[in-house]
Amino acid sequence: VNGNEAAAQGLRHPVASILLILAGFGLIVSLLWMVRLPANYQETATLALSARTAGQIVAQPVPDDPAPLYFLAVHGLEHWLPAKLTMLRLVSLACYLLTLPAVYFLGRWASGDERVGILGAALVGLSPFMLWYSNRGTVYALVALSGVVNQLFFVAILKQKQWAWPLYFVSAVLALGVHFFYLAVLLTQAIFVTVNVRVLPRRTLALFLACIIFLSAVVAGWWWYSPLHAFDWRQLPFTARPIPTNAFILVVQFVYGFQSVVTTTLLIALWPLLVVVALLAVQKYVRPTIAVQYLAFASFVPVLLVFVFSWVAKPLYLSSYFIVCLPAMMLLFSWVLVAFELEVLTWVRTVLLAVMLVMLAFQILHPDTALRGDYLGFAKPQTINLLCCQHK
Amino acid sequence: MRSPFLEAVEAKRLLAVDLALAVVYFVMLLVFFQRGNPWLFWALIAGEAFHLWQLVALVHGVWEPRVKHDFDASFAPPVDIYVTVAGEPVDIVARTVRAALRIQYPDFRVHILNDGLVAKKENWRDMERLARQTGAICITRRTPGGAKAGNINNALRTTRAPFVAILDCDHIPQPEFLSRMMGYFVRNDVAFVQSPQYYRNHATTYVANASWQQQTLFFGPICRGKDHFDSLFMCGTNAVIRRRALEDVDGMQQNSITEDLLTSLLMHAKGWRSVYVPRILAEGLAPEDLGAYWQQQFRWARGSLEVLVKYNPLTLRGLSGHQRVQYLASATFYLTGLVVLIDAALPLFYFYSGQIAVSSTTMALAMIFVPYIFLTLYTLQLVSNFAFSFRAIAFVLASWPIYTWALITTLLRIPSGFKITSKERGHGNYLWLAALHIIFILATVFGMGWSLWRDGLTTSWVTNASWAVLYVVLFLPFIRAAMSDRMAERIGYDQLELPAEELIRER
Repeated sequence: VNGNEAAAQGLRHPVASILLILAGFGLIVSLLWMVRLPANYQETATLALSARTAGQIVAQPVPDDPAPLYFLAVHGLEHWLPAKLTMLRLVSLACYLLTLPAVYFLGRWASGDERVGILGAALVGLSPFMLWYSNRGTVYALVALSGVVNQLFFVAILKQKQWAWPLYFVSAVLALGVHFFYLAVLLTQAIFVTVNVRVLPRRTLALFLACIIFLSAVVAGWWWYSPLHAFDWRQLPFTARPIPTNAFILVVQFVYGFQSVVTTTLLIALWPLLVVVALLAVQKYVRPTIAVQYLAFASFVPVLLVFVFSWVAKPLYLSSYFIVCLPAMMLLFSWVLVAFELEVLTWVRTVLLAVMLVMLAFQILHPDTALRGDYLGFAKPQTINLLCCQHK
Repeated sequence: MRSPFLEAVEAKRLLAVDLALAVVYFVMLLVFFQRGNPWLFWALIAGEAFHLWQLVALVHGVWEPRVKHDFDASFAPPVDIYVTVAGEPVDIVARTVRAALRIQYPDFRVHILNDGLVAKKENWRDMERLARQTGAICITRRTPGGAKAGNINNALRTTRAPFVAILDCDHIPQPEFLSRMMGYFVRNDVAFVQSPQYYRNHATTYVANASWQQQTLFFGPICRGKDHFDSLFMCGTNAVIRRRALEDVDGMQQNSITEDLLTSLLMHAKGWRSVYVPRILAEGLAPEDLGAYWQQQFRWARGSLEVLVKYNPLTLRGLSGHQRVQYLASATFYLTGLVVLIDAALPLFYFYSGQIAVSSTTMALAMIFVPYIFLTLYTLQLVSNFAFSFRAIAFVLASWPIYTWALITTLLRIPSGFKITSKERGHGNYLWLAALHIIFILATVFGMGWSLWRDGLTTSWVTNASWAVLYVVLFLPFIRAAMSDRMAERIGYDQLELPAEELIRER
């Protein structure tokens, strides 16, 4: 239930203004600073991979990112725009701009509170992590957007909106087509539905099961169509097995971006403050909706799943993959910060946004630091060889 | 009247996961990390063991929130209603007595148990006058001793009904007070039936609000759980007791300042049963200022700790295993004060000596601790049907000086009399009651500066500073409660925000 319906109605116009300001801010940061960054390894690889024919892109997927949709999209755009780095980065920037209103609606739908959507959009919009990938010619900005859109429809399903089912299914296929890592989010949704099996109506459970079966069929079809089933998975990008520090680094990177090792370590050391936040969030008779509970799941369960997978099967932990968790995590923070009805928390929100801005400035002024958190920083020679083979 | 905190909420899966995480965290802390100063390490371990015990007891209690008791609405034996008074304002007593006289029940009499004379209160004659005006019976005690328990035992000697209902003088009963409770006595082995305390003044002051928020967890899931194991104890008011059961334990126990807890314990040890009615049947007054809150909490803490020392539930004959766990949980709750003191002091030890309890280079400890604490808070919220709050947690933890003082006086056997919680608000400033909290904050600020100068900006400094901030945040509501309203307004501390109706907001 929205705190005050009348106030919410009156806020419509400011919402649009705030989203426009955020978008304008992102554009300015991009145009003034980010687009000037030199091409990195992934961007070069993306240009090369998408320069192939559509048939080749589909028939010969890249093993470390076998989902072909992003390369196909870039390939398609080449007909209208020159296939240059700027075009790639503009695609990412466009994804960023579309992500902001999507996050706003996701937060508003999930919590029923406009303020959660606004603060969530602000946190995502100002996240140095998000801005970094929104200015890189890589798949990750699209991963974030497709993830938010799919979760938007998942939340609509949780709110018993029947129209959302086909859109949910299509968006899930597309998100999975953009990046295989989205499987972790879909698994999270399946776990969430399983955990809430007593709460959700039977029809929802049946339709969700049907979606899972269809999605599995799509994935299986793609698997057998492509040469991936014959691929030696040991050749996937080599990353070390994650340790708990990685999970905390991830949260720090989401909020404060790619900083120096010293700064990141000091920021991680602030972890007891999470307990403060948790304590302050215990508010009388404020119960998270089922959709907000899902946001909590979507923030952390994929990380947990990848941790387990990395230790049990194959290390698969790259912070860039987790961009798909960023909007949900920021919306969860927003929900907590909005749930506080203490005057002092206005200051907490303001300080948090201000610190994020400062850290963004640090990241912009030290772009080389950011590369450490990027794909290349984790890549080992065998990965590079693999990708080079695909170039040929 | 039903209120959300009284609804039964089942959360078995969550409780199991939370407990498992707590065990993993405790074992990891004990075994896997590099130990620092041994004294600090074992102090930390002792504190964490206590937290683990509290969680075990909570899970044990709230695991099965639904209990079914036999109830016969036609069972209506005579009842004597005792309104206990010891010098409280006559208008407060009058409201309760008039409401008691309006109770809809076939056979009952209302007695004012007037202890004003032995307590040397000036208004003791007013109670006799009130009784004459209203038609109640006044029993004025002439021989002192035994405080409230002595007052009740005195009345037991002059009344005859097989059941007695106890009401504190500020607890206004609803017309169905007896009809909702007496039916449970159809079983001959039920000694007492207890209904929750509800503070009708919970929206009046900061302290009253915090007191009320604390009570919701106890009178919600905890009492339901105790009911399941016949280990509910009487809470001083809003209870009906079988005279025979009381006589079986020689009346209300006069040798404890929490006579209700001890009497219940002895009744259960003799095989009597109890029933909890999760329905608001009487509305009372919470302490409205920190002085009254301190007095109330000290009495509860001292009484409970005395029970632990003198009537250890682990060794008392006649109790079942479940009853031992639940009584032990109640009696040990007030050791929280000592544990908070230890935990809050750990960052200060680092600031001033550089000594730490445990060292972790990876974030493995935090990786377990953060989900554990988040899940514990969410579980508490869920089982209390979201009635629990930060303010309640903060007040419990910030009450460490009260609980620690109660522990010291218990161990040293320093005498402590029964002091009635004031029913009127004091308008002063009680900052002296928060002196230790203020000293902690000053020591933290100075210590942070000192250690920063000594060691520079290190991860140890940041983590210890963050822990210290956690305790500062927890102590702030208590300090706010100690201030006069005018002072709080002047510094811009948040105003009381209370929903007019207690409704759950989903968002």
